[in-house]
Amino acid sequence: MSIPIEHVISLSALLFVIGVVGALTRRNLIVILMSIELMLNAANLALVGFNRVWSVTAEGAARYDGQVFALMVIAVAAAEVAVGLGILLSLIRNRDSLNVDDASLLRW
Amino acid sequence: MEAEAFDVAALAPLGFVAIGALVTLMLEVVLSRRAFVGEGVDPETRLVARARIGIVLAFASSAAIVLAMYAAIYQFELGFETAFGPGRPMLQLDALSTFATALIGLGALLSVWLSITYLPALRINHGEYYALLLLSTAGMFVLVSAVDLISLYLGLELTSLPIYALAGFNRRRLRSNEAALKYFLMGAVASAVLLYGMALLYGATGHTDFTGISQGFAGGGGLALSGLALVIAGLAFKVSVVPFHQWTPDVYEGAPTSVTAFMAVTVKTAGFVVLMRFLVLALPEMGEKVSVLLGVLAGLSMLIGNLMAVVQDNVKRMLAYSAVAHAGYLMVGFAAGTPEAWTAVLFYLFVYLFMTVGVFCVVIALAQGGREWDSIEDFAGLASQRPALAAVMTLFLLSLAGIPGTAGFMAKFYLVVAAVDAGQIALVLILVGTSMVSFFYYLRLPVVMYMQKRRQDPDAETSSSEIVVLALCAAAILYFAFFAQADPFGTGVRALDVAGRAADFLH
Amino acid sequence: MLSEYLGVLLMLGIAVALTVGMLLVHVYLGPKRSFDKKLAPFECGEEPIVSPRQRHAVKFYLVAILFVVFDVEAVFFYPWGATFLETGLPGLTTIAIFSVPLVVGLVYEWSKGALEW
Repeated sequence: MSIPIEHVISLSALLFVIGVVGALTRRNLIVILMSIELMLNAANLALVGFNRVWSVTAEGAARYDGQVFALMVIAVAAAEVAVGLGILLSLIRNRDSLNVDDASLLRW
Repeated sequence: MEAEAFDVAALAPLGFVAIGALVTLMLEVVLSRRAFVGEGVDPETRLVARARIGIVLAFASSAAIVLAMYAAIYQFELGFETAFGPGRPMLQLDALSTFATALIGLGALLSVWLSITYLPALRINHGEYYALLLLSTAGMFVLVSAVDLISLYLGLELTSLPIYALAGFNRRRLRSNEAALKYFLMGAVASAVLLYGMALLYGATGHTDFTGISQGFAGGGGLALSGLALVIAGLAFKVSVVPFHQWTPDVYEGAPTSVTAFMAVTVKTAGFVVLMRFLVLALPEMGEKVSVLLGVLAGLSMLIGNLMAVVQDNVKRMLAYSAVAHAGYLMVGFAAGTPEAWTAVLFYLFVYLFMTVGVFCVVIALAQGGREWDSIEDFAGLASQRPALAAVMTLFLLSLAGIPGTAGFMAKFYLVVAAVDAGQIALVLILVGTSMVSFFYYLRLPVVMYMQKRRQDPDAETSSSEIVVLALCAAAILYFAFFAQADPFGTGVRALDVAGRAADFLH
Repeated sequence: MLSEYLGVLLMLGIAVALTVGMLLVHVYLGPKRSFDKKLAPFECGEEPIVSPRQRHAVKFYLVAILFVVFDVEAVFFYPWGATFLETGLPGLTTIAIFSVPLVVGLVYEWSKGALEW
């Protein structure tokens, strides 16, 4: 049984859209961070899925571009979350809130 | 699959900066252990010890940056044009990457010097600062030589992550927290969008390297076009082009000023260079459509940046909108897309570095007592109290406005000429028109400095490191105003020729 | 084409049915005889003094952040380990260079006291 590429990409696009909507509409910072993770993982899914389409070169050698890319993204995403949580912690220390609307000193 | 050996020497500039980051990180730990042994150290001694450690770290990071710049230029002089990467190129070392590496190194170096007295003045003299700054610089070195989506993404993240932390470096100040938070959230969304665009481009073309993408792109197709749009949007965010500019004013205002200066010049340079390389290498055939898209972004940036800057009463915020406007001017060059335009863009970035570092250095020289002096009122009557500072500030602002007799004028001039040659008349009209508007807000500060009475009375002195930076920037602006194409001292180097050679990376 | 997913769907259905079923069996068949002593907290005979549902200390997040980064970096060690024989010496040097910043980071956070609870 092989899953057609359209299905993989549809799932990935769906995940990405859920992530975008979550990141743009939710007000809880942790949830926003999770939405961003969702977007990154949607991209990962697309990369790994597309790798199945482009799995051999013209000369017949195996290619792993998409999978290698996805590995890199996993590591980068962890670093990104670590920095994000660090920023979050320093904000919580100054102001006991996790709501983005409370961060509104800077306007216009 | 046999792993190939590759030329590690190609990574020397990157290596110097990365090792420098690790060394400064550990140096701070070792030095502060030695300085703070024993519980009974009083705060005063602690502060002095911190200041000393800060100076040592600043010297160490300057050394790392200078070595990196030297290595990059030395390799280039040796004719060391090489592509780095096992199996296929990830990084391309050529005239463009050398030029951009030198430019970014210079921006980082000046920012380090700015920080020496600024960090103690704001009481945020922590050693991690220099390590983060160096790491971000390393990321930009990767970015400017990236010829593959993977190295582009890694470089971009390595550039951005330390800057998110740096923007929030003033941990006890709520505005700084907020700037970091906003920059992080929007930046993370932008890089996720960029990444998804890359995934789509890969899916459409089957390649992650730029030249492979250009081969696979033939004819376009929905998948490739949407991927392309997402990639351009993600990169446009980094260089703060309208409509992806919303973070700019908040982050410029909230971040410590030395960080603002750093990211204003270096991230912009790196972002524009990588965009240039991507457009030229990956999309040589898409000329017309992409140029229209870039033209729209350019026009919007110039209009919104300049109009919004008029109503600001915080200097850093005004400069942020001015940065958006300048991003728009640079995008005019991108819309033109001829070799002359690329030359003009690179020369503009070069001049922009001195103007921007200079203007933020003046803001830094005013900071004292744990607070910034960055509202327009804080500049009132500055000319009577610190005339030299007011004079160089005026020079930098005139240059940003692009008034003849400054390097800013020459930069804009070359850009306009290249754009007219490429037939982008509408954009040039917008450029000239909005530049007129910009006189209004740039000249507001000199008026306040020279015409009004001093209200507050800060007794801050301009420190010697700040004097060096200010003198260098002012000298560069005056020099390149008259000798952009000439060589009065017989050094054999003409600024515009160097930019032209860098822009020639295609052939 | 979608019928290819039937197996996945079936698996999902069985999983849900099994879980819900076992919970229901417990609810309906389990004997329920509650009296005072049984409902009281039994740990060492002490009344609880704080709610167990309070927030975690911020320190917990700090350790979690540090853990996440080092944990995920291991993602690069697996491919290297799997291809150790093929990549040989270049692979070994590369992974050694890769480890240096990680070690420096660890030493740094250690000496900064981030690992002290």
